[in-house]
Amino acid sequence: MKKCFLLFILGLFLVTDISAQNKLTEIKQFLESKTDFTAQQVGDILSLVESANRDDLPSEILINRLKEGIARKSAYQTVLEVLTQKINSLKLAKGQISECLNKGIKVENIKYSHQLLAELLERGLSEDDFKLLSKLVLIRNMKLDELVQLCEIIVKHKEEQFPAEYSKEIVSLAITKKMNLRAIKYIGGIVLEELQSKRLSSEEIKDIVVYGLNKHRSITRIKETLGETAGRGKITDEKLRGGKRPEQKGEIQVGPRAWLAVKICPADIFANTLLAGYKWFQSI
Amino acid sequence: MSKIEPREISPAGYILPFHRYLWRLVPATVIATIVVIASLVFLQKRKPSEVVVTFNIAGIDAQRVTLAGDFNGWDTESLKLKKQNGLWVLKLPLSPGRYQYVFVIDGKNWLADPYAKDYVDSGYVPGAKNSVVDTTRL
Repeated sequence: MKKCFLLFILGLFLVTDISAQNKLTEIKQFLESKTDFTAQQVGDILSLVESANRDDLPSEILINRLKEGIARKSAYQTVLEVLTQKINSLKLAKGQISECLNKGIKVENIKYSHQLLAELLERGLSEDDFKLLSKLVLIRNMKLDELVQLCEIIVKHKEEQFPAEYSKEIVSLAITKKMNLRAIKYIGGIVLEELQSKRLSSEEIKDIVVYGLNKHRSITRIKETLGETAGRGKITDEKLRGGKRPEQKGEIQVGPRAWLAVKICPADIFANTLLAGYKWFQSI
Repeated sequence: MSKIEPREISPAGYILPFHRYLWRLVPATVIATIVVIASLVFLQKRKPSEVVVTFNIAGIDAQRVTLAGDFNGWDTESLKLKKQNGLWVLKLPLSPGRYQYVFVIDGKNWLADPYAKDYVDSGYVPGAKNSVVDTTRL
């Protein structure tokens, strides 16, 4: 019985190794047919892919970048730089993901989360920001997939010149106010729209959103306040409060009604119930 | 002296009359359980369905527009867009994933999709962007 088990494990390793070897041969043939790289240069690229395989990094991502470089007719040095940078970001992302998993954060699609996190790290996400959000996500019992998508909001804001501190403040506050991922992404989208319209300064946007979240306002109300404040000059307390408009129903986002972060919609509730059922079914 | 009634004996041994034919249900229950478990395993393991993505670009004065990206190994010839009322269109089924792509105009000019939801730096050409389509979240 023991022998059978050992043979099975050995066979599994052999199959994996053969598959990796086939992949390398395929890349070698591709490089030889599509480029005029020397044998030494081809060997260097192959050893890079092989090292990624050894480190258990997703080599398909590297192969895609390699194929892009060849299609763009890039020089060997550029291809090597892009691949090296990709490997570094994938390693960094893998380290962060391992830490999260060790802490007990659950994950649904690790491959996708790894790819997206590596991309976000390349796009300027700092490891400290990721760690800070991971602590909050752990408290809120959110998944790694959701954490990475929250980081994506920060990166997108940063790319629109919105200071990372402001973005972090908004996202962290939204998490602590027990908003779900969908609602947080919606807020992130509103901030992004407002940044692109350039009607308000970053500080003004942050102040309005943070004030709205602290007052448990609905996202629609926050959006309206942003729209009303735009172009009216300096922010006053009254503007932050959104004028003299009375509070409306459905604005409480804490406690048993926290999941109703977005406007109540029967179709949404039905869809969410179906989704929850499907997720439960997948988890069993 | 009271008379003791003889009790029924089944081939499987001594069984109360009430449970006499109950054992016949056992194979049916086992089969039903196996079917249910197999169905659950099948549903769990089945591949997520593909998503049909429509790529389109307008206002391009070109003879030929193709699509190159992670999904076709960055082949600049294989995926040709069709011109329909001034709009270049291609419908492509994609498995769940995150893909980078660009439009290739007349085989030489690389253009990011102006309507893409996300962009990343290509890394190969300074300032050049790749569009991103994410079918995992659709």
